[in-house]
Parts: sequence; structure tokens; C-alpha cells
Amino acid sequence: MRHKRGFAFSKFKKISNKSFDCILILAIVFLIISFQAYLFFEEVKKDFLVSDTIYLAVPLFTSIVCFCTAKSYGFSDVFGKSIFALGIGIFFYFLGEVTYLYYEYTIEADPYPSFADLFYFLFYPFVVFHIHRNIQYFGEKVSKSTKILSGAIGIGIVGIFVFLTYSDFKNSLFSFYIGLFFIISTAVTMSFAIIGVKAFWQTVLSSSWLIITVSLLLFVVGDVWYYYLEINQLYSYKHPVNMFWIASFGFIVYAMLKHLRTM
Amino acid sequence: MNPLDALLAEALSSVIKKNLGARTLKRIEKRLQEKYGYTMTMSIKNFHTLDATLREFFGPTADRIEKDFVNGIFGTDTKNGDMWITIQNKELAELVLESFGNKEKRKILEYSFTNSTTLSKILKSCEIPKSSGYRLINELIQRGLLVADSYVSDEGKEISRYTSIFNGLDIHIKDNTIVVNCLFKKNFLKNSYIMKLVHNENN
Repeated sequence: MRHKRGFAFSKFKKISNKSFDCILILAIVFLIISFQAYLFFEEVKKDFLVSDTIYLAVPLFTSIVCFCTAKSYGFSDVFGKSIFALGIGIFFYFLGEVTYLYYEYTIEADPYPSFADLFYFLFYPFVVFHIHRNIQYFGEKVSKSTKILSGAIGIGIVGIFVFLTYSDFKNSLFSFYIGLFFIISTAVTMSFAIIGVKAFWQTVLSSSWLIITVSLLLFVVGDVWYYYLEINQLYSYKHPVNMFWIASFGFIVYAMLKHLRTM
Repeated sequence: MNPLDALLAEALSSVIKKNLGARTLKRIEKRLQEKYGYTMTMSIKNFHTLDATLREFFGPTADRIEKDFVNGIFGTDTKNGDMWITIQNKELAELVLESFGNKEKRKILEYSFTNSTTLSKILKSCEIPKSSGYRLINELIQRGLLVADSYVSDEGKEISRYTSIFNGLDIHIKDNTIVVNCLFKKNFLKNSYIMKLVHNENN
């Protein structure tokens, strides 16, 4: 068994970096397009569907990949613990999905807003911890320009959300404030990720960190779009906004594999 | 090779493992082997090779990593103009404690605090039989606690004179933890690459 695992890993390492990147990006894009196409033809939702299974499976699989990566670093103080925290954050997102579907199918109540949002929210502090732990260890003193840039990006994200929902939010003030709360959380996460990019820029982990930032950017786009849709009551489980979150988790898996290849 | 750097070498490896994981340690070791033909221990003893490899992996943040390695091993405190070093690394503290826990090794080290002389004179002054004495001295040399610092000429032959790397030692218990404070000899401190690193970080 050990021999077989070693053989598989050596094959995984033998693939060139370019091929590895191409294979994974193409795989993520292919899966996203296929899933969206499938949703287009799926019957109207009445019962638990294949798409629900995918919405549950993707974050669960991503958190398992993170836990395995943390284990391969022996839960060391920096890499191990920070990646483990990322895994916990994604696992909370998975629990959010479970709760969301529980509201939808078992209680048959509107899942937004609901207790599921608490689990969705818990994703952010763990991701911030992941980024902060890495910056704390690897980052030099954060320069003024980096602080301004990351702050401007954070404010920009919140500004875009307010701008998009400005004309509609008076109709649904409660949804607006919940949305704003989540958008501020996602903006803070993104700002930290920008500082992380600067911290890792000249290291071998720069590409892995860049992929994590791209995944968070996809998450931000998904969040802004989703809360805009919720305020205007336009959201449906078939909406392409879901693909941003799925793609985001796909890129986190890609970043973890890249991290393992580099270190 | 500076004796102080050699003493700290083993402990540094465990700090890398603790912070970055065994996987990263192996990866760094592999690169060191490819580039310099060194093992991790050898590279720590030739610190510039480890420094260059860390820079290859982590860029300018290698400075910070090195500082964390050093801070995880010891802390420094200046008393009456002398720099006392508190050993925080468990393995290193146990190595010192074990050596001072042995009555005869302690005799040898205490004598060598203030004297630099040949092995035979050390054994004679400490009244330790030669049969077991050389074995004990060899252990202390291997652990880096006793080091050759000069030579003496005897009938045309050069014989090494040995001294302890410490000038003084203070072992006490604080909050159920054994604290080992060492006063290293100034010439070893002055020439230590690792101590230079600590000095640069503190400034």
C-alpha cells in the first residue's frame, strides 16, 4: 500500500508545472460549465436534487483537502495550523449549506435569512485567521501603500454593493443590512488577501497564494451578486451566481495542491 | 566552525520542523543536498548555505524566519555588561542539564570555566581517572560544551588546549519550569554567525 501511494505521488510530482496548471484550470472550467448546463436542463425543484448534492459535496470535499494538506504539514505552527483553520472555515460553509437545505426541505421555510447564515458567516473569521497567520510569519512590515491599496479594495467592494442596491434597498431593509454585514466581512477578507499577495510575492509560494486570492475574488463576486439578487428577490438555485462559489472552492483545492507541489 | 553555532545547530532543525512542518524541512534538505551536497545539520553549521537556500524559498522574508528560529531557541538578557542567554529550546536545555547532572562532567566543565588547558591536565586537576575521564571528555566535546581554543607545543608536537564554552551557568526553577541561563565566553559570542543574526535583529 505504501509503495503504491509513493508511486502515485511521484507521478503527480513528475507532471510539469505548466501542464499541472493547465489541467487543473481546464478541469475547474469544464466542471463549472457542465454543472451550469446541467442546471439549465434540470427539472424544477420539488425534492432533493443532484444539484443540492453538488452544492453540499463541493465545500465538504474542499475542507477535506484542506485538512489532508494540514496533516501533510504535520499540523505545524504556520502552514499546518493556518491551512487547518481554512478547512474549518470551509466546513462551516458546508454546515451552512446543510442548514439551508434543512430549512428548504424539512421545515419548508424560506432559508434566507436563517440560522444557516450564522454558519456561512463563520467562514470569514477562519479565512482571515488563515491569511493573518501566514502574513504574521512571512510578511514584512506592511507598507503604507499596501495598506492604502487593500483598504481601497475593501471600501470599493462595499461601495459597489451599496451602489448596486441603493435604489432597491428601501423595499427590503432587513435583507440589505444582512447583505451589507456579509459584504463587509468578505471585503475585510479580500483586503487581508491583498496584503498576503504582497507578503508572498518574492517567495516560492507566490503562485499558490495568488490562486487563493483569485478564489477569494470569485467568492467576493459571488457574495456581492447574491445579496444584490436577494434584495431584489431574483435569486434561484439555478442562477449562475452559484458557479462563482463552486469555482472559488475549486480554486482553493487547486491552491492546496500547488502548495503541496511547491513545498 | 564556531562552537556556539555548532551547539545550537541541532536545536534549529527542530524549530524549522515545528514552524513549517517536516515536509518543508525535507524539501529544504533536498535543495541543500542538490546545491551544496550538505545535510541540514551541516548547513546549519555553515549557516550561509542555509541562509541562501531559505532566501531561494522565501525571498526577503528569510530574515524573519531566521529570527523566529533563533527566538525559539534562546532569549538574551544583559546583566552588568555580560550577555546572559536563556535556553528556551527543550532539547538544548536537556543537553546542558544532563551534562551538569553528572558529577564528574560538572567537575570538568566547572574547571574549564576559567581554565584553558590540555585534556590530561584537566583530568589531573579534577582528580578523575584517565580510563573513564577521556570518555566523559569526548562526550562533552561531541556535544559542543568543551572546545579546543588554542594549542600548546610539547616536545615538538602541537597539543590542543580545551575550555568550556561557558563562563558561567545559572539553573533554577521558575513556575515549575527549569530555566537554564548561560554566560557564553565573549570570543565565541563575538564570532558566532547566529549571535550576529540576533544582534542585527535586535537593532
